[in-house]
Amino acid sequence: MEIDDLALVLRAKEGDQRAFKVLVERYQRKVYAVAHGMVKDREEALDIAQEAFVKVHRNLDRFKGDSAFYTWLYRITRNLAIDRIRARRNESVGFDEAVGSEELPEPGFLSTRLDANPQRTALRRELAAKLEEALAQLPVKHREILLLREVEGMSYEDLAATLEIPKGTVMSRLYHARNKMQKLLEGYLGEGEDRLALASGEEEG
Amino acid sequence: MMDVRSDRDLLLTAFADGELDEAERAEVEALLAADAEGALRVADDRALSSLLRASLEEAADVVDFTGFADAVLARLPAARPPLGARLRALFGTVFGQRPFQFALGAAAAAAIAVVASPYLRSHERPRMLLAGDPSLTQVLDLDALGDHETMLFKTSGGATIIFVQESP
Repeated sequence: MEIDDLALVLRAKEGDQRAFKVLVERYQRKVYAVAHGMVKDREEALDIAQEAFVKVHRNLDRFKGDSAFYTWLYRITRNLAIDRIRARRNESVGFDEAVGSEELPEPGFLSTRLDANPQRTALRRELAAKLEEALAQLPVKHREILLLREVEGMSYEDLAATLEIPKGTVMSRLYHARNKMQKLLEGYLGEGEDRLALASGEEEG
Repeated sequence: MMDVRSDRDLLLTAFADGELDEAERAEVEALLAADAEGALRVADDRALSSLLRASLEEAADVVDFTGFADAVLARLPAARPPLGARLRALFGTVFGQRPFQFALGAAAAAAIAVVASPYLRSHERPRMLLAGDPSLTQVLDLDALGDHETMLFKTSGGATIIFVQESP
């Protein structure tokens, strides 16, 4: 039976490094995915992930178990990633900047084309590559909420706890983040479809 | 301030995420039955989620995490557990060992022998409770057989004590 996070944290607090190792192994992949989604660099993401666990370990005594361990872990990861972004590119991590317009994408532009396109596997593959670009263009506040939602499948409640924002803000932030992503992909999708229409022999896998 | 359109869009986002309670969900489903555009927006949100999830998973799939946890542990300071935990670890190990339990039993038996032997040897009330010098009590033999342990002592007053106990 899998030992729950809190029990492992308690053991780690008493100096049991094996318990801490289990926690690292349990979350390493997802912590990396969040860090990678934020900084878009494999080595830097790995470094952030390691640093996040080291920081968690250093502050274990402060963890009282009021919230889930992983919300605390992801909060630390996200803060480290934001620090890196700030230091690396002097990138704006403001919380109000807009990407593109707040105009809504055409309804169904993504779902209907993916469903109707006979070469949708190829389309998905191309879109997946474009997703990284689109994510990188989002303001950090939108990028992080999408990552936490999709990588960890966090509930609105967990997102609110991790990002320390009200639940209503979670809902509106996700809404705007998705609109921006869809708007960014919409432009690409037209071009992508044109290219795919020219491609031949690529079938559904 | 949020307009009606935004309210409806936020509700659709939460619906797409499965974050509504049963009553709200039923309400949105009824709304979507008559709102083709809303239904498409929900489908778009879900398609985007699925694309994003797959893309992020793939990004993590290409990384080999072998040794990652060990690298993290190597960066941790040498752990010095709290005093309570150290004592528990120490005594948990020592008390759990069979020879230690055996010796503990032997010591207890020796103490009993020293205290009780004057009463056994004489009907007179002893002037001293101890039958001789406790430091001179000899352990003649210690043996363990089956589920019992036997200890043989000789006090400085000449009494021989056989002590048998069930193995812990």
